[in-house]
Amino acid sequence: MSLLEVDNLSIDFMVDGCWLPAVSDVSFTLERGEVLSIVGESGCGKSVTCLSLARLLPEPPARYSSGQITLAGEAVLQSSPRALREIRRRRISYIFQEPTASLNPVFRVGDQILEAVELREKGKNNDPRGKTLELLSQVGIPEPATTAKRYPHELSGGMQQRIMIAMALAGDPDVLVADEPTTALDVTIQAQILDLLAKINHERNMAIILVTHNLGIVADMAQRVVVMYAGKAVEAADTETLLRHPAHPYTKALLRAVPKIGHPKETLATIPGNVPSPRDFPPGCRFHGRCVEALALEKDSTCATRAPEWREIAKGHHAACHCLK
Amino acid sequence: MPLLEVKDLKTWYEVKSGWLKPSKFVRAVDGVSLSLEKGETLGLVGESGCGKSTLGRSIVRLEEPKSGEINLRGVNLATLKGRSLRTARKRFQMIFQDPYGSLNPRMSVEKMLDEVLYIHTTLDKPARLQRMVELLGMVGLGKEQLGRYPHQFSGGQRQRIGIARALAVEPDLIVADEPVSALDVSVQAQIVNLLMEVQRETGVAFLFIAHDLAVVEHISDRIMVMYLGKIVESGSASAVCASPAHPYTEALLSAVPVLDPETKKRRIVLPGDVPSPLDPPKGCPFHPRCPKALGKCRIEAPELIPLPSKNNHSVACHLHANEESIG
Amino acid sequence: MTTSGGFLKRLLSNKIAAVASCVLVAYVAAGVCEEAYAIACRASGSTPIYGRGNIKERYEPPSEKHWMGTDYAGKDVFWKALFGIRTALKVGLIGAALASTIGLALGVAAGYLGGKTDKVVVWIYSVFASIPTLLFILAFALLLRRGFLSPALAKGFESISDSLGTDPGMMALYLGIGMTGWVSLCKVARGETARLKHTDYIQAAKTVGVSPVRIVLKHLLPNLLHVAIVYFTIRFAYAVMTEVIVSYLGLGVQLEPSWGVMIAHGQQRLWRGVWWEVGAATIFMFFLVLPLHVLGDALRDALDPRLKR
Repeated sequence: MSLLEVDNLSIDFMVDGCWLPAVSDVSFTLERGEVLSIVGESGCGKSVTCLSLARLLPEPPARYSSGQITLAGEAVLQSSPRALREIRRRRISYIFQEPTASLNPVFRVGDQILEAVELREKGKNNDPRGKTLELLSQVGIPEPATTAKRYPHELSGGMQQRIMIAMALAGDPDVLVADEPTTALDVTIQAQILDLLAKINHERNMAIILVTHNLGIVADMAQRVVVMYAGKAVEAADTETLLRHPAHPYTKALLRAVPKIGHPKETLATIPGNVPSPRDFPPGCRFHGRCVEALALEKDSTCATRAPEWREIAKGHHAACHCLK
Repeated sequence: MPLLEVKDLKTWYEVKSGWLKPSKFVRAVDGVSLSLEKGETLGLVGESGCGKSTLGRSIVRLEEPKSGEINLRGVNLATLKGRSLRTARKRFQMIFQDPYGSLNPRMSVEKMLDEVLYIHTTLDKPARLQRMVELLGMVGLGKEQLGRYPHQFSGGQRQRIGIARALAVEPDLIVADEPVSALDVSVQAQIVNLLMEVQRETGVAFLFIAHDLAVVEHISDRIMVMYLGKIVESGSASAVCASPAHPYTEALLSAVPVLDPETKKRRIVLPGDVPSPLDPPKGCPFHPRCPKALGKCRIEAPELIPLPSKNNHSVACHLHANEESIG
Repeated sequence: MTTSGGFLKRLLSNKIAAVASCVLVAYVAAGVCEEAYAIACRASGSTPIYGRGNIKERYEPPSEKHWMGTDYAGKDVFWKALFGIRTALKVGLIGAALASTIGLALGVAAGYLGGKTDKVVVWIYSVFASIPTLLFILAFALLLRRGFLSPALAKGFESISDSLGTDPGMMALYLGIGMTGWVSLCKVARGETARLKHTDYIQAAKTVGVSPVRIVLKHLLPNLLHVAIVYFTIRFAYAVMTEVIVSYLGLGVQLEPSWGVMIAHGQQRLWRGVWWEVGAATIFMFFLVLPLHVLGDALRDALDPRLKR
């Protein structure tokens, strides 16, 4: 059995008295020790999906309208509040895009990690302070004892993200969810953090879910990828297949739209139009208005009327598109 | 004569450190020279805090330079003030990073564009309206959008409006400060294409500031790499990206995640953070993080000198100073 | 929506705010009618209805003839209280307008220009903030009217208020309230301006070559207006209450009916069970001040551009 199984998950949000679909029928699995990447543009539902894994979305406005999340054999959505706390403590940790916003500015960083350690390793660990320093050195912070006494604003963005990772590692969770962990950082610092995440994955055999909009990071880090568009998963495959032989028109277009160093400077391929908001998701396939496949361009084609099914098109390669046979 | 010639530009900020202590200076831009031809795109890359935005903002005179010259068509912008500066602004415009913050939420597109035309042209109202429709057409929007307010547009559309505003007065130079970094990949490509198309049509020169090397390489003719307020390398886009001469450029390039899973080349992971420009390291500003630093780098700051072998490819690094003495 | 129609719709969708607006509209309508009536009375030389009284009918409790009883001079309390609206609205309107204008002007100047201007403005408002408001108004009214500053000034002031057809006590009040009430708006406007000055869209206006005056008027002020409007309503309520307190202390309005004066007079006999004069004034004041506060809060929500979709 997989470590994490998400099955037909749908999440709605209450906005101005009506329920808008943020995530619709998303399914994926995560194995132990695997790095899975969820890619997509803003508003595609990738962050919402991740927050739902530990049922962290505020309800209301959120609502889990269908589906199952099974984390290490436990049904997350059916768990009692106490069991949920236990899951959040021992099974799954998060790091986010803005470390500044996630760290409390009035406490020393060492104390914040210590709190996480005490909370998550209650009874297991007799020396939480020692564990704090150990975590700090594991995430590559020079002079852990000195840095532990600093306040968040005294550290750079990269250092703050390392502190967040140290907190997330407390309690040795099964899954680390990294939601755009390097988007706010510079390229050279991004390289440091990605290196650190790869090291954590190798050394601890910790599964990582890496949410990003950057396909380059996916190529670099992930073993498998789920591509999301407008609240739906459109394609999932192992990284190499997805990058070399993308099946879904959206994935193909996305890959073409990224400028690549050293390539001839022609006009970049674009995806016409804008990403739709949940308020006006088109009927049928949600990508059909921007799709350039012949079938989608036909008037009143199936693309415009019927949502495509999530099918396995080759071994381990799933996609949802009418154009695929 | 080049369209824009910047000579030894310095923009420093004073930081008061106490009552009796002498005040310190943040050397955001510390002696930068560059030139830009008509219709050319110069890409300016570097990490946050390297001074690339300050340089761009100094050139369009949103920041007050401490010293140096900014010659645009022979007029030194650095010394202009008040009304003469406002009139001269017709020649140079700016595109901002944040499509949500750069448009006044309480002004309709029409008001916004009309204001620019009203200030800088002698057109009457119907002629201005016609020009506005023409401008919106250039950036791929329709005239029905004129009456709308910024919050009714998506990020990409807002960036188009920002571009239309910059183009309204037919400037010679547009400084684009991270114009696509806040946009989604698919929209980013649209805007990059639009900028290139606009350049072909109007012959405007771009100073394109960004941290994303791939985008910069795609859009620029030449690239300059900045680190701690100084230019460390400059040259043609293809030369800088294909054979970087400065160790920093090399690390920057290697850190860009590439799409191809096979060419998982070894990242050069630089240790540490960018030092504070308030207290830059002695000698070469890059030496504490440089994997190839020599003893000399700790003492003496290298000058930006042309590489002997190549055209217009300059680098500020002692490693290459040796090369010159040999060759 | 940025259109005024959308804004009104949003404001009135809040039911309590809609009721408050209706009450305020009624008050304003009453005030306007009263002002017209007072002008007509002055022109014809007749005694207005709130000034008529029979000394034999003094201190009568509420009855069919006098809905809210009579006062020490036998004047009808209801009419007095009703005509108090006019005084209150004038004080509120002028006091709040003066305070908002001063606060906005100084705040924007300090925030936009910075440097020395900023230091001077901060100094001025710090001084004003450290003087007790009521004391300042009392002292100011005394100085102006009793000629402590200079007899000529007092005389000039008297003639100005005469020519405007107002009570000199009220004029002093308008000015006093206007001059003390601007500090908090000034602080907010200064901070907001300093923040807005660095937003990209103000910078963009600068790069386009818009002159500083135009940037302030066309780009900055519209983005501050919601703060000023909310502040104006709240200040309005404070001005009304301040007038009541100052008049109660015997320094404000003298010739016109005022709730403060009514309360001051009424409380002398309150312990003998003459409650109606104090009661009437309080009720009339309450139903003006409460809707103002309610509306202030509702406006804050309706005008906030961040809540816009």
